[in-house]
Amino acid sequence: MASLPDEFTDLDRFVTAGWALPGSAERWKRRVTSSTEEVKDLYETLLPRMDAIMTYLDRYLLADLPETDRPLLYLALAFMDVAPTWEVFQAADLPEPAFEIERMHMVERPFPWEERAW
Amino acid sequence: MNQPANEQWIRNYPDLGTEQLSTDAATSPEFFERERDQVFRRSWLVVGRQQDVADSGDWFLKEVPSPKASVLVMRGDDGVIRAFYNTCKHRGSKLVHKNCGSGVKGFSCPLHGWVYDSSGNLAFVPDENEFYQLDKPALGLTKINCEVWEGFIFINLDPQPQLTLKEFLGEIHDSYNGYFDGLEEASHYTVTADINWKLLFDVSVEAYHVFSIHPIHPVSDETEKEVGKPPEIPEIKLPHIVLHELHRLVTVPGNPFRPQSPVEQLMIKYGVVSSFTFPEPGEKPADLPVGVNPGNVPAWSFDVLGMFPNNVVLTGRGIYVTIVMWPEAVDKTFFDIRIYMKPVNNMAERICREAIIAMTRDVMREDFDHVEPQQSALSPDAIQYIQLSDQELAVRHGYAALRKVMNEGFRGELVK
Repeated sequence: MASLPDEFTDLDRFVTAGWALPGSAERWKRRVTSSTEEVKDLYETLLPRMDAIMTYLDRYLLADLPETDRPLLYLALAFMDVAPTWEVFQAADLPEPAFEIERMHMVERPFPWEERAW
Repeated sequence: MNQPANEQWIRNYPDLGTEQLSTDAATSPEFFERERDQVFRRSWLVVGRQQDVADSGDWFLKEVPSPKASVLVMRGDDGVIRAFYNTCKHRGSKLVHKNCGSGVKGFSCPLHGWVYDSSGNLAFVPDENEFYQLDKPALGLTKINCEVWEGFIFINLDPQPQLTLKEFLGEIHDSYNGYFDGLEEASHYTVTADINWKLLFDVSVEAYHVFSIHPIHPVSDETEKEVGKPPEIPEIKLPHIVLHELHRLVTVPGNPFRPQSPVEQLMIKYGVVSSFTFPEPGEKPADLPVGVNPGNVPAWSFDVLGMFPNNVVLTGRGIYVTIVMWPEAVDKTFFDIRIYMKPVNNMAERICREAIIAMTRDVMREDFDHVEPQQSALSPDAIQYIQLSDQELAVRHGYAALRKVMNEGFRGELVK
């Protein structure tokens, strides 16, 4: 199991819980299938840590991000995916009945390291 | 240049009339067939952006559902973007099966190996001397009219379009002046929904629905909704409406007094700000072209450009969104939705951008979640006519433009 850089080991439990996902669609699915408590925990824990995360990651260009630091980027993106809905609804997803996310087919934009692998 | 409260937009467009409109445009299979043949087979239709085929040898497929056409768009070795029917001239096999690719010199038909170059010419036929008379220069891929405007790639399935693309675009042709350049595709998704294509178009060109279904949208205010304030709050009134011959535009205002959420404060701090989230303060800045915020509306958030027939473009500061609607049946549509944003300079910008993508996606879901039940309820037994307010004038204009083209063609009274 990948773990986060030393100064972010307090956030390791979110990686363990499967929040650090590279794909936009899979991050989205992780969010809308979460409980309110899970999303609340992610939002409230990461919000005060986002400055530190962005300062840490900003040492790199996107294309040069080391593999070991990618889970931290994915976790930060998961936070940004959660935040707008949480801030309006205090919920993981739109109120029911919400349009099913499976019906929105993401055409993924690969990260530079994923493009190289193709 | 806001419209005075006592004046209605219809005064600028008296020819549109004020009567209720028939629902047959969204329910009648006969109307759908006429629309397909008179409108979709004859209009200039957006299939992508020129950056989708940035280099020679880049290509993508667009499967047009109705009228059915598999369209191959490709940038040739000469740098020209062309469109072809994706059909081999040997025995009509489907030439290309993948969605997109890059760096190719041409295509080889999977069935018998006929080869076409990147300009669509027939370049090689295996065992050519077994054929009797093969007029190779005449057996290039069948061309589809293809033009580029402001980076948008248009096709026209009519072999002899009634209007040039410039004539078709009319007043908007010279109004954008590079506005769409320099932004990159930040998000792209497709949806197939059980609705007539116009239902989503219609909610996109009015803001009357925003108060009811978009609590996440920054122009509405949940607190006011809770205390039951009627939907007359100024931020959901359209402050500007422009109706052209074929196309239409409405301006959506922002709410400069809305408090910023914690994540929005983060986004501002890291410089990822779009006018979707935070309206432009004060007057229209000089660097925006005439077509963007054409009414010089203060606290402008974005415009909705409704391009005839099937393309809604939301134009904001540092962001634009295209929603292209491809009808499959009278009550079924394929939607292609893309968000374009400024390229990111660093990791913080990349991270913050995700919040705008997530918010926009949820707003789209709220729209889909309401228009699909609308289609199911729109039976001719239940309702024959719809009522439209002055705030929904762009909806009325959409139906008027559609019926005019269906009845008179593009060179009827529509073209001066």
